[in-house]
Amino acid sequence: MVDVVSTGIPGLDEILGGGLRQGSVTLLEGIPGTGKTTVGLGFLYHGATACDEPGIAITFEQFPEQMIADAAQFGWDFADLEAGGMVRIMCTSPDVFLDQLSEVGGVVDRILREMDARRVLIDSASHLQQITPDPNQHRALFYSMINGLKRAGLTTIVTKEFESTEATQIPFEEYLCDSVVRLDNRMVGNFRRRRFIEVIKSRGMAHRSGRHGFELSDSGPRVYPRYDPAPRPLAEACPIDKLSTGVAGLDRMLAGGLLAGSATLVAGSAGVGKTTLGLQFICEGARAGEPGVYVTFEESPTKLSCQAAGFGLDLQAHRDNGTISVVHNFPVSVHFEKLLTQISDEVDRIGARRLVFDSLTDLDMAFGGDDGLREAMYELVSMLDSRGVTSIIVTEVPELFGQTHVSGKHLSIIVDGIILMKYLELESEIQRALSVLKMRGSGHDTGIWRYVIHSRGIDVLSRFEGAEGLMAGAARTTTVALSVRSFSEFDESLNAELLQRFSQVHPNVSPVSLNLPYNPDEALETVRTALRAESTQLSVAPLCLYWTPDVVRSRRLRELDDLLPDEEIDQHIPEIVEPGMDGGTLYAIPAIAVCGALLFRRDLLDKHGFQAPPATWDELIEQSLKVMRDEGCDDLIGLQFPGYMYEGLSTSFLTGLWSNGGAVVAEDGSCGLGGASAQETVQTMHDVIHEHRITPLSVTTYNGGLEPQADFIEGRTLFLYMLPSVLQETNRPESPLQGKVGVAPPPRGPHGDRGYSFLGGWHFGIPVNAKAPVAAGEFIRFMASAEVQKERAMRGGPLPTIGSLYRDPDVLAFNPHYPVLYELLRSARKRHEIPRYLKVSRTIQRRLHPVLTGDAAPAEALDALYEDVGRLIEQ
Amino acid sequence: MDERVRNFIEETAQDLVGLDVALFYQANPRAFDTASGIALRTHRAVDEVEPALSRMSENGFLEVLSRGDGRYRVYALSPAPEAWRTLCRVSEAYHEDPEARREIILMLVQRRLQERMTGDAPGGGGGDG
Repeated sequence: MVDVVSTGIPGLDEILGGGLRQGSVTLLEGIPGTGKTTVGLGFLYHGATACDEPGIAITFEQFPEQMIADAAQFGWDFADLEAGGMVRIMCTSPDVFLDQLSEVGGVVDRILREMDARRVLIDSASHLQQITPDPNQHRALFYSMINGLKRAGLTTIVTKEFESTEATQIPFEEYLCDSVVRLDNRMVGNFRRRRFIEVIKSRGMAHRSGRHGFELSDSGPRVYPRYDPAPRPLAEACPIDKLSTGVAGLDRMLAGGLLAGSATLVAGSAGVGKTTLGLQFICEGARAGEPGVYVTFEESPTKLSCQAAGFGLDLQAHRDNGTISVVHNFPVSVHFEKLLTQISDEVDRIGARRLVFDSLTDLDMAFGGDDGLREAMYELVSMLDSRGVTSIIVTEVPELFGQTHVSGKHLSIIVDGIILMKYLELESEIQRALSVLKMRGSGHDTGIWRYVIHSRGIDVLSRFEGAEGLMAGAARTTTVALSVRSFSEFDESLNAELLQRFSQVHPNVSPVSLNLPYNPDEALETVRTALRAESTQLSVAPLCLYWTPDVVRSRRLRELDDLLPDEEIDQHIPEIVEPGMDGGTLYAIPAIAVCGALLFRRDLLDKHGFQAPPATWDELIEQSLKVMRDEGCDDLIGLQFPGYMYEGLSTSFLTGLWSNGGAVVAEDGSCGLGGASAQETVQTMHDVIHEHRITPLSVTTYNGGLEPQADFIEGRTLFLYMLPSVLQETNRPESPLQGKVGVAPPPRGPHGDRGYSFLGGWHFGIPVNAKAPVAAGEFIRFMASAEVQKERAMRGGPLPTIGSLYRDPDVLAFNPHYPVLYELLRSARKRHEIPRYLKVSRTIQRRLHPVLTGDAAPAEALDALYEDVGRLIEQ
Repeated sequence: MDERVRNFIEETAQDLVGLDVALFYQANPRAFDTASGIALRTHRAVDEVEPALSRMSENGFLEVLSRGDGRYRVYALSPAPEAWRTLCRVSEAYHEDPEARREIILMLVQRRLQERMTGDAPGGGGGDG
């Protein structure tokens, strides 16, 4: 076990590996003014005052009275210690000292014995050269001296002057002494000097190698050991908690916030809002009960508080109650090792969970452009990591525009994340852009987001889209994929025309229409697949009304509350808006309305004596049979309706059920398919095909429902219960059916009070991971606008969702049936309110399709349907 | 001026170099050095310092350690308390009492003038005595 002597210089023992070995000789070398004598005096003072170890100082040049006066500056009262016999400061010539040291009973020998001295300072060994110019003799003298000191069991510090910081030879004293400590006071930058200390060797002690910070303060010398990163425990758990940055939009980009314990570099040009982000981050922590330290160089604590107050952040109050501590240093006087100690002490003192370092650019000044910054940052991050502190490290980038060098010193690999804040020149305007370049261990948004700084701080608005190469300062247009629902070839050409017009208004966007399956069930799968993707090209998702609520609840759509002003939303029929909302938030905007209607050949009914379309099922059957028989034409069809195994079959059944006084869910919450209403509906659907034969069996095989529409347009069908989209053809002046087609509510059954249609339509939503949500939002607003809906309606497109268009004279001129359709829409029943509707609908299709094809008896099929749906509702 | 101080100036210091050496040892009581070393520290010529050191030794203010068969001598402050007290009085009078300081300097200057007149002063034409 080595006996160790404490130097009493804060931090020095730590880098020496515990202190100086008792009885050893330490060479303390350095250029003039580095503090060698002061360290030596501190060593003696500590021994005399704290360790009961008397000591002597031998000075060959400096007068003892001057040394006593110098020591008094640090509060060391050597005069008092001399009076008490604990210290002697002796001046003599080197040769006299050596002689007296070796002579038994000489002055030195006598005093050492009298005092029982344990510590010695010799200041300095350089003067031994005065004795002899011969290097060999000089070395022998020095060797003899240290042997004499060791023999006496004295722990000795011998100072030695360096003539230059650039030593070309290793002094022989370094070989002969047990320990060598070098002090340095070197230029940093062009105007400032900074002190360092380094243990070159420490025989028998595990010292901390490398340069450490050193300072001569009012209280004496102090060493700031460099931070020694310790390896993390192997069993350490991965952090999963996320800390809000205080900027909601940035939190969304970061998938919740910054990972607990992570270090994030925030890089940006001057004035771009880096400090504002830091203030929001630190104050958000204080608000959540997480203490924080803000390290600042540029701004004083008071100025920082004022700046925070400008954004409604009460930094001063947090400072007053101790939740936030501001560490302020002037950048030109920063000593990194001292700063790191200061920060770690402050972090420990308040139990900080967050830290902002503002900024690395200022710290760079402390290193005067040498390569110490990278190492310093590594130590800072390691220190924070060891304490589980989540940090933001701010750095300034020199470029205002164009390509940005976030870190020229390879700092980026040290941090866990990088957030870039920069200016962009876009459309003749200076805008601010935010992007997350890296976030280790966490998913994040890869988009470039527009943000502003207002009275509440940073507000992230929307993604930059419609342009590529923004960060490089060379924007060019980009392609955005959009999808629009088309019901016919006419719709497709109309939509293509609208897309083209949209791109003319938004030249940055080149929309590409993606085709969706006509069958809405299949369309649902296409949309769901796109929504599940990490990143999707589908920027605008068309949503069929009956499954819109399911998609909305999946939280895979962006909130659209800010897309349309309230007055614009209020224009839409409220029953159609409602499925696109959840919890009062708008996720999808309606653009197309859909309902079922009974289309009939007014000319044929008139011809055969029927004044009005059928109001009941019986009347429908009666009118069909009579007209079919009286027309004497074999290929005239009485009634067509969707009977294939898809959503259309469900709507056919539900229309019949509702119009016969029934419901899928009874008033008491049980399955409502057990009564007469359901029985009569299923039976009638079966009978019109197999009993009355007014409906062809082919309705069960038509894929998508386009064939019945074609039959009707070509004059082969008397009644068509379906979407009224055929009207866009029959209303045309060139159509042979113009003026011959009527629209009526569905007929009612024996238990019904009136005929009810089903509510349908198409919304537009923006997937959370959409490539170009801003362009998508503009496109939705364009397609849902009153202008576009009116134009579509006047040209025979699908039904509008804006109520006023159903009364617009221009629209009515082309669509005389709109008042009836409007009433049907407003009174339509809502499939999506049936619990677990998507499964209920598939069950209806599966159980009833065999009835329509003649493969199952209506009663048995309904019993099975009753059981299946009952289970679904109970679940 | 204190009589003890007056006696020290007249009998021991005798000249300005003697006064400097005395003040040096009072300020640095742990100094021990050869005449050359003391001359370096007091910025005086060795041949002026040596007589001063000799007088202080002879009058009991310094002790002398002879080394190397008398090759050189080392001068250190005498451990006698009275010697130390006297040096402290001299220092006080010189540094803290302007009147006494003027008187001390006057005494030393007059003594030097007198020695020149009698040819005893070093360099005054009277030889080395």
